[in-house]
Amino acid sequence: MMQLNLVTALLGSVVAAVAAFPTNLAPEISEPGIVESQAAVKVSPRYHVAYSAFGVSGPAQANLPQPVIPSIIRSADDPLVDEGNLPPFSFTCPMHPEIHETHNTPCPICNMNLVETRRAEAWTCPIHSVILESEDGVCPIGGRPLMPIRLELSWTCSEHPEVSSSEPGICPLDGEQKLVQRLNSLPHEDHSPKHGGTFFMAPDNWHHLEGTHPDPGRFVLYLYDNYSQPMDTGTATGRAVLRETYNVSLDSMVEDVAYPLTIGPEGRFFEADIGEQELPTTVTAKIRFEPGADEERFDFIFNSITDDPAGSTFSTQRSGGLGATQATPPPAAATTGTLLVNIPEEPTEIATELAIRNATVQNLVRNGGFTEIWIPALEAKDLALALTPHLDGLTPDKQLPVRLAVKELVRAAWLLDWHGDLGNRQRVEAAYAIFGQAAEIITAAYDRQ
Amino acid sequence: MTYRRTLFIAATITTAILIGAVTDAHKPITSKYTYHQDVYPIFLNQCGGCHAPDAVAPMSLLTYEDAYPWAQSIKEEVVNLTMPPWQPEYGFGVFKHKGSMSARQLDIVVEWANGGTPEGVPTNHAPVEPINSWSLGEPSFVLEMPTPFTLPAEVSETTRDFVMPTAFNGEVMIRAVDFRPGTAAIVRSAILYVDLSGEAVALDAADPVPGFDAENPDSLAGAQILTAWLPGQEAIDLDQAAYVVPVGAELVLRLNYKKTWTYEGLEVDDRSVLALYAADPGAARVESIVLQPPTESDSNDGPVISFSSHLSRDLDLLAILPNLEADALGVQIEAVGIDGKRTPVIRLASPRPEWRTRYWLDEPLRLARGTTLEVQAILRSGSGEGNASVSFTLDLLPTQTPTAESN
Repeated sequence: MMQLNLVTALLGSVVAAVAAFPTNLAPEISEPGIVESQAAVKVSPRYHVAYSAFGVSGPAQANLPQPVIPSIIRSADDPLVDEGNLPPFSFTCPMHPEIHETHNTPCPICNMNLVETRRAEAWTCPIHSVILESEDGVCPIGGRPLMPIRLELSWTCSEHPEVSSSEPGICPLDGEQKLVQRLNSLPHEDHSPKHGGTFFMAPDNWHHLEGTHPDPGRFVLYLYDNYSQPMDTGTATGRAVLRETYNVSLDSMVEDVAYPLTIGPEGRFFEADIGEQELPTTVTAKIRFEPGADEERFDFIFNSITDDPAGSTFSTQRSGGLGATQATPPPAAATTGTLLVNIPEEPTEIATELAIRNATVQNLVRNGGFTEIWIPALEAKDLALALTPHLDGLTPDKQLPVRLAVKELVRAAWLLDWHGDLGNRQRVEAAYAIFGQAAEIITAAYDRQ
Repeated sequence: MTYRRTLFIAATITTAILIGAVTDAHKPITSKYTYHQDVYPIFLNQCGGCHAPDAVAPMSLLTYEDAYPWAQSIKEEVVNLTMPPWQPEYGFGVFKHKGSMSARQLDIVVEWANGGTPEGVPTNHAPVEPINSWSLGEPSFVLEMPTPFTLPAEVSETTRDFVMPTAFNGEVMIRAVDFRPGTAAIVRSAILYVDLSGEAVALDAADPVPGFDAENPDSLAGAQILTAWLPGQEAIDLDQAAYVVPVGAELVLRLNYKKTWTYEGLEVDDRSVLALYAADPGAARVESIVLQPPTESDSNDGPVISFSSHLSRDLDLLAILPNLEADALGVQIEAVGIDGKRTPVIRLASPRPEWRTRYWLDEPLRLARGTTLEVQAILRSGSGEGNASVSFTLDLLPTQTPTAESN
């Protein structure tokens, strides 16, 4: 019992994820007409050089293939942004788009001079990111709710895309045409699944992946870059693990059932023939993004067969497709919820709300809804923090345990937020072990379990 | 899920995002807390002992420019409770010194680190000055290293013992010890111990360089330790109690030097100073006992080490000094009374032996005769359990009448 107590107390020793930085970036952009390469030139002092090397997230790395920045050009009569009410200037680094400053200081990473930028807010379809709207609504394709997105706004000549301006005006090359709005993607602005599956971000903050289960015997894995642009499978390798068990003598998990991930047509995705599985199907993708890199794990739990609204990849694809009701809705952007959780006045009511959030988190952990855990987890954390001024109202024997539990719950909520994004079931479950125990102590103190 | 939260907030409070100070691809500003208004006070109090300019940590957290590039590391360290490195688990025993972060502080720091590290309104915080005065007032004795020690350019870490010059007349009672590193950036820890054997003087004399190599950790075993200092730590005054330095004893200062990357390849000098505070001759004599496994083999049975010790008199527990040579998930001591009642004494989660220090109980803990002290350690698997060693030095005062015996 004693030993168990200490072990339980030490569950906090969750291993931190060590983020490795990307070294292999070669996205393939395959939608001509939507995406263009930017080879901008400096035309006059008024037109600064656009971001020809824009897009490497994380530390600057030499000799990396530079990704093509997906961008959308609007026609002159269909501007996205009201030109009478432009977003203010801010500053970013030509080499490090993650840098975004209100003042023009040297880049804190590479010391280069920053350049002016404007960031615009828009609404886009969860799957068809070419659709950009200036207001909330539903996607004209499929009718899903739009999700907000931030983009970099600049202007260019409709006939001379090499021109880039940070102000609207007339094209300097022809002196006649009105400049048109160009909207460049920003990294990590779109984490919604493209094939109706589950979308995770790798610990390197660069790779993203989406797992789908398009029929009972198949697992498919798509890779994306940090702009959520599809990547080919490149030098990545991996396995789809269906069952693991803990081996006591080795003190590690041993794979009982695993299938190789084979490369699909033209290297556009990985697939594995996983044998006929009953739902819910749990698949752990273990991926090495390049030879010699650490193997990363991503845990997918499919409660239903995936309907791919982007179109069928397989002849075995079940019915569905555009506009069909999804069996597994993608984790949608939080456009309807709020993280400004309402805090009730009475501590017992706060505890009730906390118990509800805990049940939701527990359910999401069980069912593999890792990317959605952050909402109830962080709401629970805010509820728990709101209890701290009320702890004097508890009997003395409960005050300290609840105070301790609040702190454990707060840090576990942040762990869930963090590890949930990465799709690592073991880490999510370890974080939930802390979270659930803390939530139980708090809610039990108020008889609100 | 930072980005989706961001998107929502972006949709509702657009202007707040656009006027934000700093953000990055993954961390658009979602934090309602800013560095200058919310985070700096926490960093100053919780981290500033080490993470200050020219202090022992490899980075300062006391300016915005120094702190925000470390946001991801800060988040990882804080949510995993590895920083701040206050090891006793909060609530399992109550200790002097500042404790670990509160739930609210942790939340503020992580939200700031996770949510775009906004700077806020720049504020001129008072510069952090190196402490040049002794916090407990004028010392009875100030002991300085006889000569500076030079940490050579090619050495990045070493542990060195120095015999400190004393001019004590007879037995001395010490109620407090304070320490001031000569070069704070390289002094990671300081232990002042009492050498009764005379060996330290001989070793120091035989070594051409100031001090001598503390190769053998056993030279400390059984020695009375007067202080185990870590950066940022304040001296504790025992007031009406004292450690005894017997006649003819030498005081030896063991310093662990370690360079941060800013000092790699450089020669660095150090001449550290100690302050000793003498107690009244009538002060109660602190006794130190070592809580250890009965025999070596008993402690090495798999990943769990447990042993207990039975107290045959009434004692007041003042402080606990862990002696760990083990990669442990955790260690703990509980006091079990004759009625079976368990009292938490101390629990260290993921203890770090290199940061060895003495933990002072906020109030002395009365341990009645017949109490059993139960020690338990769980070793990290694969950490070479067979070589693990776990013991604790307890500083106690007899509850009833002071006795003459001491260690």
